[in-house]
Amino acid sequence: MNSITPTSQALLDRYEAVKKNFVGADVPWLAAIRDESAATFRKHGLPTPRTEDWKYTNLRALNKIAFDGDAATDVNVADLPERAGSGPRLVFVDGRYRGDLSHSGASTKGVRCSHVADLLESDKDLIEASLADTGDETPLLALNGAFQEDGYALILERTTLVDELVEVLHVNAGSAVNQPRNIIAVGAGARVRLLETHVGTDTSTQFFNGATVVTVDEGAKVEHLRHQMQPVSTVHINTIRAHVAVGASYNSFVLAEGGQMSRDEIQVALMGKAASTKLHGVYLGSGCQVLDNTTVIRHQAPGTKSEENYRGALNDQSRGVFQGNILVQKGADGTDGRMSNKTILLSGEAEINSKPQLEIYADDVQCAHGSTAGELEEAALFYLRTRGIPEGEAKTILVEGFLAEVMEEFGLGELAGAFRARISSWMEA
Amino acid sequence: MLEIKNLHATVDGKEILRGINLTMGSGEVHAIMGPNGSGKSTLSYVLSGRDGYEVTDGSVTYNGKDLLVMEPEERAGEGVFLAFQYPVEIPGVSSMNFLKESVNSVRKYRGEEVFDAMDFLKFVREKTKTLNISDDMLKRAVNVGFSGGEKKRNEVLQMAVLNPTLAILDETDSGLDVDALRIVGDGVTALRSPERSMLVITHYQRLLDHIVPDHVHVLAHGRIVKSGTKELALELEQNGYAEFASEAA
Ligand SMILES: Nc1ncnc2c1ncn2[C@@H]1O[C@H](COP(=O)(O)OP(=O)(O)OP(=O)(O)O)[C@@H](O)[C@H]1O
Ligand SMILES: [Mg+2]
Repeated sequence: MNSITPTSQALLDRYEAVKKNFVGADVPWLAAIRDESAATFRKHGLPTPRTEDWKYTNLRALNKIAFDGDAATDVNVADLPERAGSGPRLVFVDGRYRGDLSHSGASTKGVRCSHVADLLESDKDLIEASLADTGDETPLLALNGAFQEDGYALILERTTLVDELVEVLHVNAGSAVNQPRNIIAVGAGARVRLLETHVGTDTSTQFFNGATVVTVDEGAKVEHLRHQMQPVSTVHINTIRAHVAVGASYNSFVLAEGGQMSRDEIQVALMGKAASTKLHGVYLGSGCQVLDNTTVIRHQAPGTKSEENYRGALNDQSRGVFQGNILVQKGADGTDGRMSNKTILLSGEAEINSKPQLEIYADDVQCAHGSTAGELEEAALFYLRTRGIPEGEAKTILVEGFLAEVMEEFGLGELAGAFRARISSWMEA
Repeated sequence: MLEIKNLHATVDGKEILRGINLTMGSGEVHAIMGPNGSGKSTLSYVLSGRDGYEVTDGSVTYNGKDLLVMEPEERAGEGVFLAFQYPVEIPGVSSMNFLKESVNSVRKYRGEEVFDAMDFLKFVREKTKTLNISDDMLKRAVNVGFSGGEKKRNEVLQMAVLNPTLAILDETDSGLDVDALRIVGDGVTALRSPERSMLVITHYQRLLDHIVPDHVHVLAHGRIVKSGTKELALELEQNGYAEFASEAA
């Protein structure tokens, strides 16, 4: 209990010092949630390599960060990447919603495309449970809970369909710590597709620790796409907790290429019969980056289905981490769980730690997992070169093809071109 | 014109080619036959520059240039083409994009104008018709899930679009049914021209019915042990390679 690290203590000290100034500090129920979250965090502190699921991903980079600094104000529309479509875009700078930089898009009945700080007074019932997830087994979620001030809130009433892509842009600009708490809550039969992009305009060492709580009601569908392209100075942690009801689906795709250390952790509870999830991703590592994808899928009901497919390319001394946990609980009979992780190592010093884990307590379960890592196939490279394609281009083609397979399997629609272009420019860099 | 002199090559330290001499004039078709494991594919890889195939002695000049110092892609630019015995699958890369990349790379090397997407489509469609290759096949990933015959037709298509001056066909006729053999045979024959030499590696007379060779060579234990005219191919198919077993050792 008293063994938390000095950095953990520094975070708690910071919490005590600034909590009076938080957005919504005067909202008693929220203040209580924050205190409770802080208490949960105090119990565990930041994970160390001795923590089982943090064995391969070290947070010591946080020791060098001073946890102060205010949200930046000098960010202009011109600094932001272009919108991917014509739908709404919510922009957060250092975790604060910026209406002046956002686009509201066409309003659809039954859809709230807003931000938490704006709903504190009016919609406690809609948001309280999501904000109150204190993350008992996930200290970084607890930490996020303590510091939460704002975040996006995408709330759909039952059977509402949002055709346009909803965009959220997170900009790390000046403050050293940025911990948005986001909400996706989708009513029965509703459907939405969301693209979250993480960028940074500042190259000082920063800590992004975001969390998103997702609830998908009966028969609803959520497609959650993320592109993490923060500067390599950033420590980026993003935790997603999804609760999926009967016949509903939560599908996620992440393209991770930024951060000195980046962890995208998705915890999915398939709570209702025939609930499903598809978690796919691509990671691109170079320099000394550490890119971690951790997934925990709990099959809690019969006939539930999960498909995981992560692929990456690692160059220089970069390291990838893939931890895939599938837990099939008692009674979740007829579960189907598949997990695959493949990595191309473009340098002799790059490395991947791939750890699939299955725990099965039900009957008639089909679970499969596989992971491979290796250099580009010599035969394929030679084949392309005999067709006149220079070695460098041939490598790019092979890596793109390898990664394109996951993207095609997921189906990125109109974003496919842009994501592929990122991979090309990464290969050319 | 290709000149191979006293070519020795090793793979993983093991000598596979043990002194090959072969001269091919432009426009000529030479067939190479020989038992399994005699080094035919090895020769094709050495000529196209595969890593791991180490030349320990001898020389190869093509149109007066030292071929052995060039990268595989430079050799392609110079007009060398290898149709693989076992074409390689490239997941995630569409056949169409692959063809376009390769044609444009070679054209760039040769100082020719590169194709834009529309022109390229037209250019390819002309070639695919005669080879009975569907647009659907071009949309699929390179060789992935292709049947044996489709893979071989795809090799001939690549040859047709890359317009080589020296084509090495490594068992392009293997694994083909009668109809596919005719398509491939006609396809290859159509590409025969006074500017294009062909080195046809095969186990069978039947491809040579389509594309009649000027010379036939027997490769055994890494050496050319006999050369002759097209009749030699017939003879070999009937009598096998037993007579060369002792000569080569
Ligand atoms: N990497 C390797 N290490 C050791 N020996 C090899 C290697 N690759 C090829 N060889 C050997 O080289 C010899 C020649 O092989 P090659 O593929 O050139 O034969 P081939 O004449 O094309 O036979 P086939 O008619 O079966 O296609 C064989 O004995 C083969 O086992
Ligand atoms: Mg062979």
